[in-house]
Amino acid sequence: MLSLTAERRWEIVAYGYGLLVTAVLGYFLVGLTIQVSDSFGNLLAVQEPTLGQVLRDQLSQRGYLRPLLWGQIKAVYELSAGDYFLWFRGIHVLQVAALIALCVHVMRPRDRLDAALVPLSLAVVVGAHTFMPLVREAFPINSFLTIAIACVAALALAQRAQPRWYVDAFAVALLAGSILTVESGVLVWVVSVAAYVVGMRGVSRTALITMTVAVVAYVLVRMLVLDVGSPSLSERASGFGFSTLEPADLVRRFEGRALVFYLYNIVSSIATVLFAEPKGGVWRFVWELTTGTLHPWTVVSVMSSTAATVLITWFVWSRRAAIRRWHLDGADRLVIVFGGVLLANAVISFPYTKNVIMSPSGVFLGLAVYVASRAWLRAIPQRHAAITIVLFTVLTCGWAFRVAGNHYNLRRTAAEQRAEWVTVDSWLDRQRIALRSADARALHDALRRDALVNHPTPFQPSTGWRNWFDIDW
Amino acid sequence: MRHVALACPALVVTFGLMVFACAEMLGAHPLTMGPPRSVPEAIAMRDEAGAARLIEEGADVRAIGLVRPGILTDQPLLVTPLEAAVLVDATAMLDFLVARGADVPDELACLAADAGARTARARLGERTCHSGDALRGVLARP
Repeated sequence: MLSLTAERRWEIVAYGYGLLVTAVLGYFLVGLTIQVSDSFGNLLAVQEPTLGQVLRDQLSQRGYLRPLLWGQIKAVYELSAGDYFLWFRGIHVLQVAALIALCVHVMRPRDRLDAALVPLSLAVVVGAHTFMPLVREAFPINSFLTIAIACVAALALAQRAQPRWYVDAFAVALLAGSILTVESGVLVWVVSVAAYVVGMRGVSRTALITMTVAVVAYVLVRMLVLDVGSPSLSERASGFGFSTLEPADLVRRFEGRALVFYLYNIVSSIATVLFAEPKGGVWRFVWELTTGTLHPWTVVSVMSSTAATVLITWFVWSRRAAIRRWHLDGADRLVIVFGGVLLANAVISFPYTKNVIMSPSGVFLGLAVYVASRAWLRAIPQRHAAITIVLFTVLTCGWAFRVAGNHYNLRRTAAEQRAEWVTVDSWLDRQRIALRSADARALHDALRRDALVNHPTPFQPSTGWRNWFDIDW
Repeated sequence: MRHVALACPALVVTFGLMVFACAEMLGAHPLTMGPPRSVPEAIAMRDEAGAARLIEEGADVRAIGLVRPGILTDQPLLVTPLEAAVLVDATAMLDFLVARGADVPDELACLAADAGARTARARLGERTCHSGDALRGVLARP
């Protein structure tokens, strides 16, 4: 009874810290505004049609199949009744709260050491370069953040001791909702299957079969009925080597041998999570290193990510006998699921590399670091204290630095997003969007007023911080 | 002790950010430049929305304003909004100011050349300038 109380106490401490991280991030998130690019156009698109029409229209798109994303935008747009800032920014804060709460739930801190590792693990989650686009952008609902939440939720369901019919139903609904929101929602299925394979039994076999049938049906309907296909080379710009190539350059360089480019994207996507290099397919650290222009941010991000990877590699090596015999404990399971998510996440991002697509893997990296750190600190003898000190100094200080940098970046983003509203009419001209209806003009005026007057730019960081954090994101 | 050391860096950053947020909510502005005090200063701080708001509230788009030390240079600067936009190479802001009635003097292109503002220079066109004169003129304002 006494030990239960102690366990509960550390869990409460961990949730309390998670709440603090959420509150701080939330404060910076409400400093952002609804963007012009990626948001204003989307809101204009859902203004006129009904919810049913919005969903139906999405079934005839080429390259993408995201009806529920648009359904969510339409639903929140209608519910907001003109209070767009409160609803859309509020949802973003709630999304972050859900993600952090789920991460703490999955970590299950039980003692003092566990609780002490929660700040490091949450720093890995929140400080990652793959997390940044989850918070600095919205469309105006960040669908990639929705998927990251759904993936951790799927893991939390799988971690339950026994399957229950309502858990099964929720897991299937989670998959259906995710996969129809954005393509990477298929990772919910990957998490569920990987968790089952390693022995987590919170979701039943029947539910997994149902989820598998749903994924197969989705792929078949997408390919054979709706003829949606996947994004082509000419769809969008993507990083390659030391620069970002525009669609025309991609076609010129990889026409007829797209597989080379796709393989590059898969390898880059894995490397970006494990080493923070390349970022968005661009080998920034290597370029800075060879040109003598190393930026502190790049160095810290590469070193801290590499330290995390070293730690996880050591964990896998130290547990190789148990893994080979498939006698897995909770920590082994979490690390193997991370490996599965990383691989699947990289494979589905084959058409182009974007940090945000790898965001679920970035979140799972934080969870893997948590269990690997715990194992290291329990297993490594005192005589290796020097290695431990060096490794954990790089890890804890590096990731804390990255958390600070991401908050700095949010503050700069707040000014950049508002700057778009100053010249929104030029943007509308470039996009060839005409505000024909009174509703469209009212939306334009309301969002511009929100950005410029009602929620003015938060104070900008002093220039001294630029040398540390100001990089071209 | 080991546990505290493990948690310490992340805790310091999180609590630091919390103190920062609380201070801002109470009206202070630690670690930031605070609110812009003029249109040129807002532009220099890259708070273009702040500049637009001040203009839409009636600020003069031609008026010279003070940019505090530490924002663009270590010295305080007296510049027009257009000059501030050139110094930070903000062409969208240049267009906005011109649309709001700011007059573009010939020396502005020279200032763009002196400041190495590539996009502003492309927008303003080439002028025959004595290298450095325009920037020195701005820096020498009393």
